[in-house]
Amino acid sequence: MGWLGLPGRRVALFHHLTAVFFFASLATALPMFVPAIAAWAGHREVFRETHVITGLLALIVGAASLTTLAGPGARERRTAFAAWAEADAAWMRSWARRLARPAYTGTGPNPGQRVAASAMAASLVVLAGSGLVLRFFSIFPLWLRTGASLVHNLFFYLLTAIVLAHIAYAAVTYLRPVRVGEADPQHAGQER
Amino acid sequence: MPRRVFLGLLGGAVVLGVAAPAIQSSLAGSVVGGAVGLDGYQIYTVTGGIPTFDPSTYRLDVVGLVEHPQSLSLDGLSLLGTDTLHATFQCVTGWQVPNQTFGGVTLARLLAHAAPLPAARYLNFYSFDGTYTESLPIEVAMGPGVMAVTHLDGKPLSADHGAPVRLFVDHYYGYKSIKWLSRIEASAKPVTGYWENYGYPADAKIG
Repeated sequence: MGWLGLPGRRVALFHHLTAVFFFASLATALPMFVPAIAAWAGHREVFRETHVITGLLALIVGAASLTTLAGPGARERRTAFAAWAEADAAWMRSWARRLARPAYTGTGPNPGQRVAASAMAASLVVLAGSGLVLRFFSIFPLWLRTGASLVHNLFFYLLTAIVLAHIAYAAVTYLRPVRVGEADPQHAGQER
Repeated sequence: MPRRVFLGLLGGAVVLGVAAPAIQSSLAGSVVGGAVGLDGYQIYTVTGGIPTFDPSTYRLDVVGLVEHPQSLSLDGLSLLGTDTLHATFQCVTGWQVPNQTFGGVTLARLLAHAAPLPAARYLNFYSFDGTYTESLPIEVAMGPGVMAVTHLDGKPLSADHGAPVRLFVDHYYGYKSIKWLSRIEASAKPVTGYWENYGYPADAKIG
C-alpha cells in the first residue's frame, strides 16, 4: 500500500512532483504579485515564464497521477476519489463539528481527502485556464482579462489554503506515532 | 459530493470571471480590491530591481530629429510649467488604478521647445534602467493625454513608480507608460519596445 492507502510508490512520486511544481509556481508568483518583493527581485519576465511552466506542470503531473502512467489501478484511483455515500456525508458532518478527523474504516482516501482533492483539482484547472488568458492576453478582450485576473487571484488563495491545510493534517497524522509511540495500522502498512 | 465540488468551483469561476468588471468597479479604492489584484499598482521591473539615480546629475535628454536638442535637469523640467491630468492607469492584464492625478509636463509642451523636424514620425523612449524602451507615433505623443510625469497624487514619484520621471499615456495600456525615463528621441522609425519584444502589440490603445 502507498499514498492515501492506494497501491503504488509511483503514485506517491507523482504526488510529490505535483507538490514540487505547485510550490515552484507559488514561489515564482510572489515576485510578481507582492510589490515589495517585485521591486527587490525584478526580472518579471523570468518569473512569469517559470510560473507558467511550473503551474502547468503541476496540473499535468497531478492529472497524470490518475492515469496508468502512475502505475496500475488508474481506474480504481479515479473511482476512489469520485465515490460518495451517505456514510461519507456523515463523516464530513462529524469533521465539520469538531474540525478533527473522525475514525475512518473504509479503504482509500477518506471523504475529507476526496473533497479536498476535488477542490484542488478544480482550482488547478481554473488557475491554468485563467493563467493562459493572462499569458496570451492579446487575443482576449479586456473584460475577460479582468475576469481572469480576479479568478486567478481568488483561486490562488483557495488552493493555497487547501494545500496548507492538507500539509497540516498530513503532518499531524504522520507525526502522531512519534508523539504517542503507536502507529495507525493503515499508515504503518504504507511503510512496509 | 466530490464531483459537485469540482463542477461547482468551475461554475463559480465562470460566474466570477463574467462579473469581474462590475466587481472591479465596486471595489475601487478598497483594501479588498488590492488583495484580489484588481485595484492598486502592481510593481513591474524588468531588470534586477529598481534603478537608482542622482537628482543632481539626472538629465532628461530630448534628442534625434529636433531643431533644438535638450538636456533638462529636474529644475529645468519644472521651469517648463506644470500640467495635471486625472486618469485611470489600466494594465493590459486587467488590473487598474482609477482616479489618479498625474503631475508633470505634457510632451506637447516639452517638445515645443525642442521643435521636432518634419521627418520625425515617432518618439522613442529610453529608461535609465538600460533595458526598458517604448515608442509612440508623434501625433499620439503630442496629444493632451501624454505626459512626462514627476508627481503622482501630488507627491513626487517614488522609485518603484519610475522616479524621477516616467511617461503616462492616457487611454493606452500601462506598458506604454515607460518608467525611469531619461531619453526621448525623435526619429523616422519606431524602436521596438521592451514588452513588444515579448509579443505585446505596438498599438496599445485601450478598447
